[in-house]
Amino acid sequence: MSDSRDFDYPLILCEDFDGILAREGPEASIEQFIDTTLRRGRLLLQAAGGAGKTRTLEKMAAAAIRANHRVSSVEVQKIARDALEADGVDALLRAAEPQLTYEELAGGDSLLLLVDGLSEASSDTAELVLRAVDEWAAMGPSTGTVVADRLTRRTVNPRRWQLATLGPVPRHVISRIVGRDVNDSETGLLESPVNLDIVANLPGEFLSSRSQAIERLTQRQNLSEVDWEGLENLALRVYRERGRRSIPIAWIHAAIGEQATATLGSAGMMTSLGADEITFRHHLVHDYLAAKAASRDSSGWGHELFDVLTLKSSSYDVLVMLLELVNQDQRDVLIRRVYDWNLYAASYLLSRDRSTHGSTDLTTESEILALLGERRFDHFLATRRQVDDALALHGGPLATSYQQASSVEEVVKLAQSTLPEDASYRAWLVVFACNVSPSPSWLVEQMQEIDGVDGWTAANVVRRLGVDSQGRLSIQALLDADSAVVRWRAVHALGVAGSPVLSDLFRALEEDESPSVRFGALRSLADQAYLAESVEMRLRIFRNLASHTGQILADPNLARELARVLHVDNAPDGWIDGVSIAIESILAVESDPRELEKWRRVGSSVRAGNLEMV
Amino acid sequence: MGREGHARVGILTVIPEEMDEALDVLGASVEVGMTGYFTSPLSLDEGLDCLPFVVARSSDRSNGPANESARALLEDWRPETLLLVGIAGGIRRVGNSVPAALEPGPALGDVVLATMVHFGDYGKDLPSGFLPRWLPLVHPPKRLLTRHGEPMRINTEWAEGIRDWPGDRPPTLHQGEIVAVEAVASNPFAERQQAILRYFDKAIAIDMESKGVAEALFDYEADVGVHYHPRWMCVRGISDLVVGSDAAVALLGEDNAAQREEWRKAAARSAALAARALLIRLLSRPTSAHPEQPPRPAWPHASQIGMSPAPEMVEA
Repeated sequence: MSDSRDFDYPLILCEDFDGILAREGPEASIEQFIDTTLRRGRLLLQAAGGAGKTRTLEKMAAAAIRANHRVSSVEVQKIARDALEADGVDALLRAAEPQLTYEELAGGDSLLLLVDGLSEASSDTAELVLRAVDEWAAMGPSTGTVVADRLTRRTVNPRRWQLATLGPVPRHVISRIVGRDVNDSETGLLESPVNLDIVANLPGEFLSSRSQAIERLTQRQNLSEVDWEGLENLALRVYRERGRRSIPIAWIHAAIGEQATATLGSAGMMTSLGADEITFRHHLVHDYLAAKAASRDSSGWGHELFDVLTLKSSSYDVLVMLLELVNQDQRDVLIRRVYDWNLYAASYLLSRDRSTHGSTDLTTESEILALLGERRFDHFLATRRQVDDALALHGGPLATSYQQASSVEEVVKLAQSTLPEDASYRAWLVVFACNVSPSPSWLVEQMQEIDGVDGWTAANVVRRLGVDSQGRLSIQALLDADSAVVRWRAVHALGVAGSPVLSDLFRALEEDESPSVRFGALRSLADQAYLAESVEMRLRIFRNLASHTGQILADPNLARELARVLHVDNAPDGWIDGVSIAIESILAVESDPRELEKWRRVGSSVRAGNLEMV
Repeated sequence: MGREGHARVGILTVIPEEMDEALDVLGASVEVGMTGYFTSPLSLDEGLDCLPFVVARSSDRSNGPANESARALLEDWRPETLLLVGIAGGIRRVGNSVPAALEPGPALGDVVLATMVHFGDYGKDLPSGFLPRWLPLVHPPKRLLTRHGEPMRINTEWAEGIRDWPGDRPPTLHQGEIVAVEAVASNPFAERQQAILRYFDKAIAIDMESKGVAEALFDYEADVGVHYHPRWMCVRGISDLVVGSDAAVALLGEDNAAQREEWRKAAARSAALAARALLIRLLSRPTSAHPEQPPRPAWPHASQIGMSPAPEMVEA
């Protein structure tokens, strides 16, 4: 899908991730990007899917060769996670094409290494890649590495890493390429070089979404309808069974036959990954096909499918395409189900939808933005930052107002002043704006709502208002619910229910079969420690958490969340001592020197009140 | 070459007083480009592709920022030797004599060259007490300490640039172990700090950055060091005294926060003076060729790099 066409989208050097979200910073030429990379050693290029990251890497490679720099590139998906964990830089260098060796550093010639595909890597793999790049840069001061990545806040040291992003293709360039004036909605779609590239090859067509653009592209290949359906099902199966985008050649042959596979290959849609595996040239094509398969059956839209499609929350672009592929009346259902699974994924869908056709129901959008607004006042600082990022990414007027609210009360007032004529929203508002403390029984009941937004609203409001003994018993009963999401909401609300529920929360952390419930239990135990009535109780909770260290470290999600919840606003007395207990218990059992260093840094950053390392 | 160029010696300071004294004593009055690193104007005027030294300040106090800053300095300049130069607490202990008295140790304003670095804050609190654990660190090489530190211990003329000196005798130089922690307690009765000082019973100084630098050197040794093996020295001027027991507190009878206030600048200067003498000695011989870089020149005369020579290094 790439060619030599220059879409003139700006290259922007940013000071921090906030600058990336706002696309703020000095613009640079491709040569300045190269010079900056070689000078700093590390450049992290973060942008949304389809924004032109791969194209930019290709342009950098060409310009670097013209300037007599050596160039090598790495596809992250070709590196096995185990190899990265065991060999670090060695694994990175083995995967480079042409391959690199340490001996080449001795020559001192400038070398540009281009790393693509971090967007599709899981969080822990991405962390290993970034660590390896960091070490490689330290080894070779004459080298510079560019890593292309999605829009997500990474724990890279801004003193060593240059951050950068890509701006939209300017409207006049879009008009020039499509040969006509474009409206706002089309600009939102076509400011993405990938979309514009497709449309440029389909003269005279009016497209409304990326999935429609990719659909047009795929339709140009001479495959039967049966083959396409087989390919869509295969794309979903590969995500489900392999958790990555590389496809065994035997699988694709079985799905569509050797002839059709060869057709796709000769059309440039697929790339070989060696003798046994191939992949779609652009990951968005794989996402589109998997989304198409998922769009056929709305009854399957839930936690399991969303985990599969997004490779466990590695990238939400596939959900954007799923949203585009479903009927207007199903879009609201999809967003609310996504909300039930992952608040931040839902807000990403809203932001992407807003930048193109804006088809989302205003009721749902307003409700989700209000819920995000309230979480800006969470006592966990990492949550606050994540919510701020989500609201900044959305960028709409209402999101901006919630970003500027100075208290939960102001958030509630803002919610009350929104959509005065919308009956559905007003019904939701009765729950969200409830100010009866402790929480009334009807509110606790509402936590069992099937609808994700309604159910989580109730759980959040219960957490805000607190519970009496009757309410506590009612929520404790929900811990035995069949629905994992109801149990998750229950542990979420029990974070404010005081010491009588501590044993329930520890049992949920130890025994619940759902990773989400265990995750929620860990957060609520941190809530309990934060809100504990005495320092003794606080330290007791931390000591008990410390006795679960082995279990927490064995689950990367729990380990990551523990590091996040240790950073709190206005740390109460004894909090630092409690954190020390938790960290010391980890240092006592962890043997990997890098993990040891990471946890020591977490401890130091908590003491220093610095969230940078999380 | 590093990202910014090459310097034979990199000097890392932490607090503003340390940086100011180092710049003054070393005559490092010009910034190299807009890099945040300083050197002497004469060095730049020579137009060589190698500077004799650069001076930098850590991004913050404590081991983490010192680690980051040391890594940056190594990557930016590829120095052969890194000097961590600044202030520390001197450790005093009670001896076995009757009546009880403090054992000899570094006095305020003296300089300690680290022979070994311990990290005191890594361990486990058990009911029976603090159980330290160990980290991989690189210690200053014995050869440098013997060749350069020992002559400076014997001949204290290196200290002749002291000024505004609060004490009644000039500083002397000690070699001994240093224990690094994440935070030095102002309260001399702090139980944890006393336990650390008791455990590391040979340590003569305590600071908050040497572990970070020692670890950065280890990272380079372990991960980066195919062709590059930097070495380092830790130069600490004593700005206050800390003790390992309540009994020692009583014998010391002074407030270490007040001491630190009075001695901070003077101790930073004595450390900078010791660093100057070390620098002159380190630069007095050229470096031979290396797989990654050509040979590097010597600056056998201090005046070549804009410094007045330390007395024991008087030019011929």
